[in-house]
Amino acid sequence: MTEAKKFRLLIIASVIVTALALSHALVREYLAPDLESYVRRRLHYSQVIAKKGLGLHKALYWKEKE
Amino acid sequence: MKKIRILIITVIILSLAAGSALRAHRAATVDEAAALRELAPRASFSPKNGNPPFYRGSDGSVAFNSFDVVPSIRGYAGPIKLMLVLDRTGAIRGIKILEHRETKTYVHYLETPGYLSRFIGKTIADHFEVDRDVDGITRATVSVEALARTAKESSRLVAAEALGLRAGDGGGQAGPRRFPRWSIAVVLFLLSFAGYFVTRRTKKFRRLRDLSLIAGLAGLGFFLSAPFSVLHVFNLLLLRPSSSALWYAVVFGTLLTMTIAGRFYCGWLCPFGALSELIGRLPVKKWEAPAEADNRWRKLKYAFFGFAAALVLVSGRVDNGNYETFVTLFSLHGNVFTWSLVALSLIACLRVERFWCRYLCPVAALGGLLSRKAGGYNGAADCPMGNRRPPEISECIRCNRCYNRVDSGGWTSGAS
Repeated sequence: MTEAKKFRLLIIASVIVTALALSHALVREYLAPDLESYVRRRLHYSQVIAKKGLGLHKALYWKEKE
Repeated sequence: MKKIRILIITVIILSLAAGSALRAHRAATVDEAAALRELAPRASFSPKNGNPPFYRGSDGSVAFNSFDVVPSIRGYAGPIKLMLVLDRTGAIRGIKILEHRETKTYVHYLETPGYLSRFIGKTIADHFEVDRDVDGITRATVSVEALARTAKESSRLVAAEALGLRAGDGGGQAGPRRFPRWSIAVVLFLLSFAGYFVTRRTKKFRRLRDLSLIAGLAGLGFFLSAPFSVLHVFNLLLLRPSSSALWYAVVFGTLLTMTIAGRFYCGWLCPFGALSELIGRLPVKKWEAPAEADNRWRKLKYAFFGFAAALVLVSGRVDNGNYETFVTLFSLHGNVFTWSLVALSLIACLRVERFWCRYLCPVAALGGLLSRKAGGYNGAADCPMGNRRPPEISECIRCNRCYNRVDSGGWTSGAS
């Protein structure tokens, strides 16, 4: 492998790590809580609501009414 | 360079405008009721009233938001808002940080219940002095001092108003006055800037820069843990100045020298730059990067700087733009990605001179944007930045190795 190629790989690796470092705070602050709450809702639906024979949209409708 | 300057200034102005508009619509609300329930679950509290405003508890305690009482006490990047509960005797029964804008990397320990629980039981007569009756946190001294002062002064004022208690002076002897930390930074800037001008006059004292780099690494890096960061500039743009003299010494020292001598800070004082350069001096063969690719990739730091500026100024949170390796290294706190970046940047210096400074550093980008034309820099084979001849002034760290000046006032064209 030539030095120019190694240099390019090094730069690309560092760009990826820098982008991950920059996006880490955003993911932790904004995306992770949304994802977590979505997974919780989805689990609640599959474990509780679906067993009562209600569709997801119907369940959401009644939840809003409550 | 002119295009990059215009682009970055446009990004900053647009981001500031977008951020201000967003924050105006979404005013931050602090849930004081939830904090009260957490700190004193058995008591019920009256609505907030009085001057300074406080809540009176059914058990005779009082609770208050410190920002209502002492809004002027600021940490490194703004006030540290506390919810405090005092009992009838003026002793702290509960304490919680409601909001702060300090860099999380430095103050992560400050927020833990374990640390804050050490304030429980302190009375308004106590000193609240860091390293005396309040535990200091290495690399977060300014924030800890602000936290302690906020707790002390707000408690005393509310205790006097709501409980009729006076603190006196606490009885004990005041602790010995420490050497002011800001003065170390000022001395470092003055000495290294003097060294910069000396080495422009004569090449005999070229080694002064090595001494300055080691002093920067030891002083600004490991001892003060206060390397200049673009987060400081973002805080300034968000109108969040600090009450720390060290903050002003580092920020204005760097910005002033940048406007006079471009990337002088990078070449003479930056602790991470010093470490990178020292590693780069190890006898390992350097890679020959093609000139065109090298020039192209050097623009990368401006892209990251602009992106980080947009993230911070729109969101209003400086932590969102924190990817600086020196913040992680000298605060000894980071996540897996920032530590990976530290390791990668330092190891890369074995093969590419000052890898981080050349391609990724946002402070280097800021220094490049503030660099003005300067004559006499012709390029040298042993340039610590691997610059080609003649060097782009925004890439020059003013080591003065290639600086040539003739006494008649003209400039020689030959390299050293």
